[in-house]
Amino acid sequence: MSYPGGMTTPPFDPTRAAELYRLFAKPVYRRLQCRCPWADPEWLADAVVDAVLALAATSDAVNERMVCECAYGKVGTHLRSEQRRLNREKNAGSSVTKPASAAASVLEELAVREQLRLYEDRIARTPAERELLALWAGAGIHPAAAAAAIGLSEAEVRKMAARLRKRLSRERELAATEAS
Amino acid sequence: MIDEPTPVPPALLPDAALRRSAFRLSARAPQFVGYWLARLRERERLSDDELARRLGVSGGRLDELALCLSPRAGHFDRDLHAVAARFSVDPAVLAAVVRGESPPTPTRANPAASNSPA
Repeated sequence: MSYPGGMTTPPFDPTRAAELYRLFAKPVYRRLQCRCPWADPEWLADAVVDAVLALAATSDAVNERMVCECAYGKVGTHLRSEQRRLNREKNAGSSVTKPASAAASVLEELAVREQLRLYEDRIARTPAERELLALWAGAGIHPAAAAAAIGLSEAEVRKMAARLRKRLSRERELAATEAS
Repeated sequence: MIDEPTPVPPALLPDAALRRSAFRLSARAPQFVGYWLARLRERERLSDDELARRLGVSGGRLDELALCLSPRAGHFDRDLHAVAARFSVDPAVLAAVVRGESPPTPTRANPAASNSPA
């Protein structure tokens, strides 16, 4: 993006981030919270504020959609970082004894990735991720395949998938309520 | 036996979560006014309300003030007055804050500061 006079950043305005925050932070935060109601509220808020600060420094004309997509980008970055951490643990052999709650968080993170699909086209790059996403979406992937991918029993994965489908249903209802 | 779905934790109000994030993230670098507000708060052990009164601003707008950029060295007065005007802060008070000094008592009356939410 270029600006008048050949500038590559917006004209300096010390209050610019404050204005974007005032205009967009709450609605964007609510949208994130609606999509990820189980996520840590402080962490979602950090993604929104980070997005506001980044856009204030780099973009001239900012709208709510841009803030929303940038905040989703921050969410995606966090998830990839968490995924790498979980992969490291798995490679170190800790997945054998990983408690079900930790494995559930893997599935939850992948579920968020699905929600981010419209905004992040780099998700679900590995077959395991695609299988788990498909399972979560109820697309008929055999639970044994997903179970093997995260080192759990098929029964545990079935339970988690049911839980996640209920959550997805609740989130869709929330979104529909908000839209109406 | 199928477990019940994990209950969704009660949502934290956007105002509170966003305000905490604005303070936390802006306190990371001196390029933000929030960094200097955090130093003042630590140095003088102030609550949010006390900090707002010390500056003479509405407590509900402290998070916005924190996200403002600190005045640049070569444009100190112009940048300082831009921020001060937006938040109705005494420029002398704001100047002391971003220099890491103890601010004088605000001279500019700001009715919003006396009865605003924290």
